[in-house]
Amino acid sequence: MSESHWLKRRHSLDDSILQSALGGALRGNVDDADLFFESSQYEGLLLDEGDVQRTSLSHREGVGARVLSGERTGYAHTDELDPRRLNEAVRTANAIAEQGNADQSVSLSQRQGQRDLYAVGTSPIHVALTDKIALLDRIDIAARGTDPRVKNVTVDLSVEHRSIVIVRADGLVLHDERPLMRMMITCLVEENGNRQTGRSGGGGRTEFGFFVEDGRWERWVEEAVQQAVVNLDAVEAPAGKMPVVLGPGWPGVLLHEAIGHPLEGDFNRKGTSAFCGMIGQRVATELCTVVDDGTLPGLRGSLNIDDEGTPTEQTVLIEKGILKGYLHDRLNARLMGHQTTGNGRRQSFGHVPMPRMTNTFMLAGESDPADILRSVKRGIYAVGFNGGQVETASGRFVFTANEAYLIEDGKVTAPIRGATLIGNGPEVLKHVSMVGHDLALDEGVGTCGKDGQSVPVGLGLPTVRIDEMTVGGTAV
Amino acid sequence: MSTTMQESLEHVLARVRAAGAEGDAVALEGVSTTVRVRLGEVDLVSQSRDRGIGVRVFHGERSAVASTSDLQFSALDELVDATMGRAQSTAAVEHAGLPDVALMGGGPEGLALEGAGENLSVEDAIQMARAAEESALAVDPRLTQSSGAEVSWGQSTRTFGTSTGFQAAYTGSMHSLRVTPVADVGGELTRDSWASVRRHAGDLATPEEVGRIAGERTASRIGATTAETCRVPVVFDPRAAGRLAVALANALNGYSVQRGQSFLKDRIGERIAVPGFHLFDDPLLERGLGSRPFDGEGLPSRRNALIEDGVIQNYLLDTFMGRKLGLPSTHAARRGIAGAPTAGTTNLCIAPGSASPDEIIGSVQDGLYVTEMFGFGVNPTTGDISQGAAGLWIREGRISHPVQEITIAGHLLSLFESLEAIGNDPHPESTIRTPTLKFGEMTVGGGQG
Repeated sequence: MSESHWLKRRHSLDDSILQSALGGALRGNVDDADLFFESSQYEGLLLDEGDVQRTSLSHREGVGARVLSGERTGYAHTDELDPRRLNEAVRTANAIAEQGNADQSVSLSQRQGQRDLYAVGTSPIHVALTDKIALLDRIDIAARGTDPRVKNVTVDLSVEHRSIVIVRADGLVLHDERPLMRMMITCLVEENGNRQTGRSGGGGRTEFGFFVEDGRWERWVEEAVQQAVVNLDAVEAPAGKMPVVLGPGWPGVLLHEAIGHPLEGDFNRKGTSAFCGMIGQRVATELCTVVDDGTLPGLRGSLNIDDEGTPTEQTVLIEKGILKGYLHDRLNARLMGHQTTGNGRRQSFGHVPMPRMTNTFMLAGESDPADILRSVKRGIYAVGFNGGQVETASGRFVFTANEAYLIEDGKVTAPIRGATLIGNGPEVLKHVSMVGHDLALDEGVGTCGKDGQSVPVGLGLPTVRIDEMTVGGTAV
Repeated sequence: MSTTMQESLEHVLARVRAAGAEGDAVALEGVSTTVRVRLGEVDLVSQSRDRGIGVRVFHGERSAVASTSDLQFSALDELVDATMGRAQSTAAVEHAGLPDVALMGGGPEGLALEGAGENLSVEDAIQMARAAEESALAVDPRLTQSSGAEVSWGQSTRTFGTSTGFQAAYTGSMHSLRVTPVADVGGELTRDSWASVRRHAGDLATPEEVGRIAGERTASRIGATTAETCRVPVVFDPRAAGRLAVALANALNGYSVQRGQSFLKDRIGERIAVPGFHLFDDPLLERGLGSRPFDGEGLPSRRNALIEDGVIQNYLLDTFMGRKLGLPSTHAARRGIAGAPTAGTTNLCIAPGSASPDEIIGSVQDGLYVTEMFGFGVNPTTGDISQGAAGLWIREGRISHPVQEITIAGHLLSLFESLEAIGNDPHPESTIRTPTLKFGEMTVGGGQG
């Protein structure tokens, strides 16, 4: 198996060593176990004040050994990849299991993936630094040329490549090669002492050429400058309850916070989610169907297999307003008597897997987005957000717009600043009265944090009208 | 073949020198353990070992950084050679370079960052976590669920050196105990948590106390409702006040200032808050969670006044940003293994005032006591703030009822101009040591009105 050669070539970890380590992990009263080997390379570039001033390259590799017994998880990781440290990690992880039996012997079998959602000719990590710098320089010049009020441009480029080998309890050895890249362009504009920033960007698990295809970076530059310029004239946001129209794409962060997190299996198994026991109940109007889908080629949240070796899939969370299912990893699926949905993810070999989202979005409806805006007498139209947060137990979530407008008599009017939207997960989608036909996925910049672990995710939404949401501005 | 971190560091720096370049390197090695108990049963036992080395090279005014967890000498040679190559592709930047070696120093002794002989066992930790969770759930019969009680402990050693001959190291330990009880009242869940976090195990609050506070905080929030949209005085508890201090410190970071992404740009010497308000960063607090003897570039730590009596004193600066802005470094370089240094805080403090939290609450006729803030609603470029919040409503000087699903919004400048009271209760168990703060007026957004 060519992919595992880095384990053998660089660290002399051959199949007999892996097999014996797995045997040690399965010793005693063990329900499940795995070894997660990872070699990652990360490259960062920062353009600021007209030049790429900072570049970084980092390489990290190691193994996490996990043993599951009942509700207990034993975990140990080391970044010293040698047989002694591997066996030490296995013994440490196995200490949570009740002892008794001798080591188990499971023979290993290699499995080639059934599909490759991110097959690339050249992984972006291997594109020459000079080519990356040349692209960032072009972006800087273009952004400064867009509007004389642009006073500074920063471009953050991060590129990574992870080689994964998972040894599962059943002896299957799975491999995955994961490229990923992300660009964020920030423009600062200034007019009469009023300074504003605007941001745009994108990326995915794809080739470096993605940035220049279809005029992508040029569009991101325009969006970043436009967002900053719009905010120069922003007025105070209103405060209180009112209709809210969310634009397509990134505003799907609403679903991620309000629906996705509270449907993660761990919270529901532990009885700490606002959605506990609500499967089969109506939590949204019938216009709403929400899915998590890790199988879309090239997207930031997509994976061939999750970090436990399960192929990702499309999981329906809400179907026509009815709550359908949870997002599961192996542990929570086993304990709840469900099937895993391929959502067991971890930040790195140094972290325990948890149920996490992949790409989460609402399916398109039938309304014309222009009609949706026309239907609102007084409300707000939010098209850009910084990010959000949810408290899964109460279901309360919040997210803050960085580009939003007033809607007055069906027309989009003044830009507003500092509009925070707040609501309650099981309630918010009951107020969705129109869903547009313009579903868009975000362009690949999202990172989700949970229990101190960050993983890349995707978001998506068509234009939707929510009849009633609390907006937190300063104008009473 | 285990080499020490110091040997790895010296190998890297020798390779940098041999290439005719300058540079510095930082090596980290740490071990840590986490134990989590939920409803009395062991949920997780996790142990980690982490090592790594990061190098920064200067080829004239061109620089690059790189890091690796592979400490074999051949891998370190490859790392340095690749980094030299990358530096040559990068733009020359005026002011890039190491700090003057004469300014470097290992810093003061006596910070007591490492506890001695405190080998907590997994069994001890499980007992502590169980005791804390039991204590939390005993506070109120409605506390029937739990997100668990977690005990973590570990230590790490940082070794720093430059190609110009400076070398220093320190070891720090960390212990924490956190409990998160959940109330379930007719399917309506309420959660809050409390933690004790200390360098030394012996300084931790008892499991009973941590549990009791977590239980009381959670119970006090049961049955929360939203509020009417209004403008009222707002009191922040020490934890919530920390978010405001961080917003000010971010705006005083040299990197934000230089990029124009700061509403405090070009305002050194200006008054932006009431007299009596002092914001400073202090890496020299004994046993402080953010304390360190020297910064990420080998410059000895010192206390930095950021705002004194309401007047901006200085920015947070590393060597590069200081040179760029024509100011000396404030020895505030923050640095991990993987990236280039940047400026940052260590123990960010607001000097305590004289009022007790009860006195401050007692001074409010009708207002909000914020115990939690959510979201990412601070705009450092403009100073606008708009956040989700939860807490308790104050009526006639007393806590009246819990509130949630509300927003608070305002502007940091007008907020700190309207600062009416500073508590005597700074949060000691955090890298952000802020007391209770009371502001004259903010907009509270709620579901009614």
